[in-house]
Amino acid sequence: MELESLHLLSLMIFLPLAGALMIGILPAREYALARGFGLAWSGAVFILGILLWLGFDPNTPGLQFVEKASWIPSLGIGYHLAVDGLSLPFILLTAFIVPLSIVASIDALKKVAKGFVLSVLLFESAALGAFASQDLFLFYIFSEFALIPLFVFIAIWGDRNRSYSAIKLFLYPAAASCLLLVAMLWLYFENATQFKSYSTDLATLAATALPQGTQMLLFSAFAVAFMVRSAIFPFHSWLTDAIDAAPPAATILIPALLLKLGLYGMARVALPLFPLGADSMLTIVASFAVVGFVWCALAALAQKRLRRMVAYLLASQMGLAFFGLAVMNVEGVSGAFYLAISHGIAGTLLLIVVGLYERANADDRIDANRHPLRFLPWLTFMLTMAALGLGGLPVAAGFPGVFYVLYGAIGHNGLSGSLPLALISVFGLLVFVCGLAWMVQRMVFGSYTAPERPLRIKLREYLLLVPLALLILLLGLFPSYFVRGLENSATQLVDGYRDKVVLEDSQEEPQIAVQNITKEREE
Amino acid sequence: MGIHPGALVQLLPQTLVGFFALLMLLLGLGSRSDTSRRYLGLLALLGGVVALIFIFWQWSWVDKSAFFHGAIEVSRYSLFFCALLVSSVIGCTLLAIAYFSEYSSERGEYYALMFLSLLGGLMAVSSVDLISIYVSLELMLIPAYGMTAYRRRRMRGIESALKFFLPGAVSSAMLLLGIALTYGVFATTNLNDIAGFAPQLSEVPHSWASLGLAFMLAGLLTRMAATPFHAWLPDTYEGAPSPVAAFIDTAIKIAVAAVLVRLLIQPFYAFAKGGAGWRDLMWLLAIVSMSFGNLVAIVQQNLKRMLAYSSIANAGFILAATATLTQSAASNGAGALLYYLAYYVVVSCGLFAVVVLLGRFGKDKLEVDRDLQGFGYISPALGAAFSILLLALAGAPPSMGFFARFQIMRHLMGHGMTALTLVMLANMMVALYYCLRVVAVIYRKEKTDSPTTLAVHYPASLVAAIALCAVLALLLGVYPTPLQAVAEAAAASLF
Repeated sequence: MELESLHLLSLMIFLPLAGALMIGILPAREYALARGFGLAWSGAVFILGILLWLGFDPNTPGLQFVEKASWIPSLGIGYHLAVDGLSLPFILLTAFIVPLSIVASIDALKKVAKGFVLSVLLFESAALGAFASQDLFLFYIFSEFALIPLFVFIAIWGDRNRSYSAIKLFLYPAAASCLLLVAMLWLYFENATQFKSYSTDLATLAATALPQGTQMLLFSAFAVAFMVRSAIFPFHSWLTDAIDAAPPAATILIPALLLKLGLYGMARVALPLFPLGADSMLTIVASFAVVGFVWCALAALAQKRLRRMVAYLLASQMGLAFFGLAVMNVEGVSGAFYLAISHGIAGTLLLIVVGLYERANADDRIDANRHPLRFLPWLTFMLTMAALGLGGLPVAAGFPGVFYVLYGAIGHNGLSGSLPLALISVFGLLVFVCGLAWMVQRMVFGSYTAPERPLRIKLREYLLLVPLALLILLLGLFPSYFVRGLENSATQLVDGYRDKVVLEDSQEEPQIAVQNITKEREE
Repeated sequence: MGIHPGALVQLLPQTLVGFFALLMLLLGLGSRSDTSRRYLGLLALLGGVVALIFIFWQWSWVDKSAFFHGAIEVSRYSLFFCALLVSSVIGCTLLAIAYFSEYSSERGEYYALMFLSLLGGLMAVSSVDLISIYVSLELMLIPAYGMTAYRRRRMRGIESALKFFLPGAVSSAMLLLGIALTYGVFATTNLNDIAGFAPQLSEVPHSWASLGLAFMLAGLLTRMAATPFHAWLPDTYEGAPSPVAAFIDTAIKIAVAAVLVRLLIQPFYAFAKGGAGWRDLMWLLAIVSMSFGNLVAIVQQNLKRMLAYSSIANAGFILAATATLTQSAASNGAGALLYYLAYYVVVSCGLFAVVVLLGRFGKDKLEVDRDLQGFGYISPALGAAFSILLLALAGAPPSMGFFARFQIMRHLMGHGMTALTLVMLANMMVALYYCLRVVAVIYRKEKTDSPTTLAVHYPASLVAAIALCAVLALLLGVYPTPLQAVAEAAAASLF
């Protein structure tokens, strides 16, 4: 395929970086120019993303568009990029959300366009790099680097309590990643002693033979790091503080993309590397995820400020997605990824609408609104779309995700205790949807006085919402058309995982292993 | 052993630096006008660059060879440290040119003193004899005392010089006592000879020799300002002129680290293991030093004091690397240590350059919350460079700081020191906290509408230093391979 020779992934990662450097040398007062450049660069990346999507073969579950080069040869660290059905949706999501977030910032963050666009592009580069990495060290570097521009968003453009929130945003995930780093070094040395050469390539590391105790330890370190990154209970408070601290236009990227790094890392790194450790720890991970799902949904009901309410709702749904992943069957994993994608799109739409709502009311206290959205039917419609998308109602984007996750959890699988957890999460879903509905009700109706000065919404702002709403609908109707090859890659992931677990188990307890295999065959 | 005249070419870096020191002393005496003194800074820069170029050239053909009856040994190891020392002095010269042009007290003696001190450092890193190590380190320190009190009409300067001098004198005494005890056991001061004798002692580790090593370590660690020998450092940094603080922070630390590694890995390697071995001692001191430095740095309001405590913490990281020293090339942490020192030169010079620049805004005290607010908006490029340097100091990826620490941690894990690795990571988080706090402050908008658009002249030398350091801190983090290869080659030449 000639697309393979284009180095599409490298181009996508380094184009925004080049754009950021170019914007860096623009004069600070050229707001429009900086924004235009940013939009052009990220638009170009999006077009490359479409090319990637078109060139991607959904029937191949393995890695495609592989790029491999050595980077720090003495330590065995390589520059290894590739996509499969698990990373492709997130790469596209990144390429899609970034230009939108630049457009969304035009009115909200007027005079800071240059710095903002620059940081957005840096973040895009880091996030794409993390989603495409097939080398653990490379993944670590990219996913840590992604935190720096986000720190800058809050520290500079935040409007309340921002130093605290910004530092928390950085330190929480970074501190958790330290555990990951130690576990990574441990694995690295184990691997080096077994293979007589140093390597940080994921495929090589996955071949390391580790006893179950070690795997449990290392998996816990990785899982904690990724749970913090995805703001899973009880590590969700950095997210709510971050979203609370800055205008919604500045924080779109945090729930839409940063949270996905945790989920993706779990599926890409932690589960394939330590299947045995995961096998005995996943129930705990799933419990935290489900408790978090319910807890954050309940907490959302109690919030007095809209930003915090939205933050809790967004944190809540990541819990459900994590639960789906922890179930570790094809339905659960695909459901988790569908849910993450719809969360990214509907969450972005919600945050943009909330930003407009804040502008109308000059405040984000929920009960003090003098300018409810019912006077702006178009925004009301968009808000409802976002709520439908998040809530997982049929025909909207969240539906396949929610359905698959619950189906996977209730149906056949190897995760012990998933049935009660699934029942709890059905209850959580109820609370979550109630929270969404209540939020919509209060934003739309609120007080009954007609506003003296109606909010002027520019055409550009209306248009910005259209692709998001459209995508919510299309993703609900044709999920597998847009999210290409996900189920194939999910099957591969789950099969690889089950094979390893069953293989190890069979050495100790052959009967159960046979039962497992036959059970799976039947299914 | 006679000295072959041709072999003296190998000592040309030292000779050049000594020559420039004397030349600047003479010219400084002769020049009376301010304008002619200004050229002395440029001369110092020229001297540094010439020496550096020579060292680079020498790297390609150098062969391990000893001079002066085996007291001085030129190898890639010594050349690496010479290059680091000269680079740090070039950085400090750039700072000094800007700093002293403001206080119009620029004199030839300053650069002459700095070059004399540098000469001491160059000799110290090439010495393989305890006496010549002692003498070279003294040559390095004594001019530094004078430099610290260079603005002699400021009380704080005098105070800081005194606080530097007294522990320095005590450390000299301890070093000398340690050398005497070692000589008493081995009847030689040559490190290679000691290395040959040490394993043959009746009891290893020998109690008197251990005591000697302990005294020598105490003397050296005082100069490196590792806890519990750190007390002089914060006051000295706060009161000393910033270029001098940068010099103490980089050059002296590097020279002492070079001697430390040599001592531990060559003569006293037999003393590494066991309950009272130096490996455990370094392990413990590393934890104490990095934790103390970083925790105290959190509460510092003054930027210079924050850098001082961070320097104590970094001494802890260096000690952590020394805990992984071995005599085999494979699992030897020396290369990681050398890379770390190179990283530290870049970051420390860059940050002190920013401190000098901030001093030009008339904010001599540099309280973080009060004086740095909105600094990032005065000059966006400068704010970005400052942020990069701070992140590199904290060790955030993909800066040089991350890779430097990653390498040390890699060796720690390879030696099974998981606990120390975890402590180190916790410390990196603490460092990240206080560095990010400064980044958040410099981008905090000031309450008044008019940003401080003071008409400040940015000296070219300072801008060059900051830009160079920031670019290197980022570039060598993303592509560390060349520097890492050089550091490994230098470390390998020890054996």
